[in-house]
Amino acid sequence: MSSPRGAGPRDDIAADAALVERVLGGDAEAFAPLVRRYLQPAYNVAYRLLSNRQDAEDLVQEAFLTALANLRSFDRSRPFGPWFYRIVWTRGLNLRKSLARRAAEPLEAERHPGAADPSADAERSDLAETVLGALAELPERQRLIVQLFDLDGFSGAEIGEMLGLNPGTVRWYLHQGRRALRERLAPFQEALDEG
Amino acid sequence: MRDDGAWDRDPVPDPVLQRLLGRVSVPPLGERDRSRLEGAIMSAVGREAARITAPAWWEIAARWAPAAAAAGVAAVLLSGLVLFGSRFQASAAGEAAPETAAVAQVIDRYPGDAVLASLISGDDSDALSPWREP
Repeated sequence: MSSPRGAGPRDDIAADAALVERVLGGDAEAFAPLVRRYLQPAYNVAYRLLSNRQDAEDLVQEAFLTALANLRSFDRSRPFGPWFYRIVWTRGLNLRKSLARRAAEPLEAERHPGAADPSADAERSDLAETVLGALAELPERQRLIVQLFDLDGFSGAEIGEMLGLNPGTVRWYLHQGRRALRERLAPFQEALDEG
Repeated sequence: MRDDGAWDRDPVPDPVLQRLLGRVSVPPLGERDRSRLEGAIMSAVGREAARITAPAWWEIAARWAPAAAAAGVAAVLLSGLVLFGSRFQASAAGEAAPETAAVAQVIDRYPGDAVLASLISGDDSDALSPWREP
């Protein structure tokens, strides 16, 4: 995935602006590189919000079409990513409201492939359960911020733009979330260090 | 597992926490899923692009505004010129025509002739005057 961390170098901004210009000029194919570049981070945001693959895919598709429909309002002197992730986020919140039943479902756990040893498998399973439990106990905003920052590579500024928060506030939530997770997961640190 | 606690810049990534969270994280889209989703999005984009990227009426209006303004100014100037010209002609035509010597002689010869007076005064009434011998 193209790392979303940071606001993006200037040439990325210029390249995205040129693509947007071409799309607005009627060249729909120029939208394809934007889709390729922002698909994975957008999917991650969508999945964090909806906890369901199919819903996340639907949301990403809808968000790209919304971005296309609102392309004229996009400020081309600014990076495309945060503007687009904000669309994913806001539409995701709306979609989640309409799929309220999903909000109560537990996080979808997916083990990494390659676990051949059954005992290691059981241990990983215990660990996964504990991590899931620790995550589930976090207030939602803290959980989402920790996941977006530590797993998906978004910067504090990008998360702030998505959630409509000051970057300093995002870092505060991140700090709180990390601290709570560390307390819960401290017993597993040794196991992780060994494995 | 450390945190520098500074709020003015992002904290450094925590590799241990990342590994723990990675155990329950959904892996990124696979290549096949990615291609499929990308194809679905671009197909929808193709259907919507023509409609979505077509300029709105106000954009078309804005595009033609300078030409329309210039045409409007030209029309005002032209109609002003035409009005001014016709008024000048009308005032010139309203002035009394100088009497020629021949006309003066005719008037002297037929004093009190109503038809002649009517013709000279420009009265275009069709009313017939009674004929009187000079």
